[in-house]
Amino acid sequence: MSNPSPELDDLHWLMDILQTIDVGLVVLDREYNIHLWNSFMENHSGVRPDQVQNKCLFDLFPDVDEDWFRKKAEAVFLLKTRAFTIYEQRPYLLKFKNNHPITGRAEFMYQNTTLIPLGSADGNTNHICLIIYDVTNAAMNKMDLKQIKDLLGGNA
Amino acid sequence: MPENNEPISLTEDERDCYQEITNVAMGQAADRLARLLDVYVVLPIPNVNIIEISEFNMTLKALEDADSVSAVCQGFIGAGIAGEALLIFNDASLGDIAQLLKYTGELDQHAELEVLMDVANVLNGACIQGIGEQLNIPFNQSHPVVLGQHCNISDLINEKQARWKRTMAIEINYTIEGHNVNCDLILLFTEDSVRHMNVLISYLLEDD
Amino acid sequence: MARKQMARALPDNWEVEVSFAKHGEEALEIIKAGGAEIMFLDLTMPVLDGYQTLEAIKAQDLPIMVIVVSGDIQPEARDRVKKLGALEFIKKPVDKEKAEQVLMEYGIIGGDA
Repeated sequence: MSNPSPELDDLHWLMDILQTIDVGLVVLDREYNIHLWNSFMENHSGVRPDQVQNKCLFDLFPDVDEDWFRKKAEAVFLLKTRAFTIYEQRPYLLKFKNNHPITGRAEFMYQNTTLIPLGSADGNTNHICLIIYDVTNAAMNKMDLKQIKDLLGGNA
Repeated sequence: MPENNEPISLTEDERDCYQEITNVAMGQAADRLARLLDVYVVLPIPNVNIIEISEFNMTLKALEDADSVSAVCQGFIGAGIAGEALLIFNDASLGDIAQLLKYTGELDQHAELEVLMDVANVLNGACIQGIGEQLNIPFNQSHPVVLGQHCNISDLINEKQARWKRTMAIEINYTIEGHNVNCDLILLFTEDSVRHMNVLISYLLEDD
Repeated sequence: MARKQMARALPDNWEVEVSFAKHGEEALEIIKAGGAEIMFLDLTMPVLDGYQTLEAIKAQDLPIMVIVVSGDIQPEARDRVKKLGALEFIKKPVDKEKAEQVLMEYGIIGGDA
């Protein structure tokens, strides 16, 4: 069976992947309004894409430390450089429940994030993409390791 | 692609070429840091050397007088080249940088981590992508990892556990005029990466 | 390698003699020996860096036009070199078009050099 538009297939594939991938994807404009909100974000926040489209992140999620996040994001907008945050700085950006609500020990999801500049036609960075990774397992393991080291008293 | 097991070494031309490529990349990094902090960043000549792991601590001459250091490490990879960027701070610098970054409040371990990450984001990214641009490689960067805070330089790399013997180390020491800021950005490349890069730069070194 | 890249960026049929110096001190010697009219100057060099070289040229009133070519592109770097008397600042790596454009802008080469 011949395929009349292979490029359109590629696009469909990409969209499917972006939706089902197990990381959070959010696109923000200069005013921190949301333009992309993938399934990971929808499922963990309980908020649908149509409910967040073009609304300000900080208005929708007042628990987010606005000053902290703005500082990180502004550097990306202005310097066009990627920014990373790790859970050791801040356990999470958005408070989501643990992926293992029954067997899991952590109260919430530990998150690493990446902020990448998105180019536009005028050469400026008018949008950034926020990628949220669930690192709860790694965080729990590290804490366990630290507890054991402390119990053993000093350098294990 | 050359896959011999000859220990890597650099000719004078190759060393010069890496210095030049790094010079351009670190210029971009310094420019961003300068604009972020509104300061003037002093740019030295980068040190390019092949070192054995046992020599690692000696390489960090600029920081050898530091009583305690903190360090962050970030991996990068692309098109046959893999390495890590180590950003090491003289802890005495952290107060000044925190001020320049306009952090208020107590500079506890937590706040120091924020400072380390902010500077790492700017310097690592610009250097890695800057080098990538010149070699035509869009490097992937992984999340930075904290190697240690308030520790000794010798604590940073565990000689016994490390799986590498030799590496090409490019060391860039950043200082800021008028402030007590001193940090080292060290780019470490695997032996295979160096063999591959030597091929890539051979075109740049060709005589016309 | 910077010298090679610079040489490649010069206009093809520009009839000039090109000399190279490894650092600022060597450059000053060449200038004082009367061997140069235009200099493309790097900032990051051993022995005598670009800024120090520009200062020396100013202090000794040496007859030479300087175009700075550098990887140090921070805003203050450009200001400083201009204040020290450099004609223009080109960021590395230099490409042929940019080099030609600057040379034409300052009347060093004509339209059909």
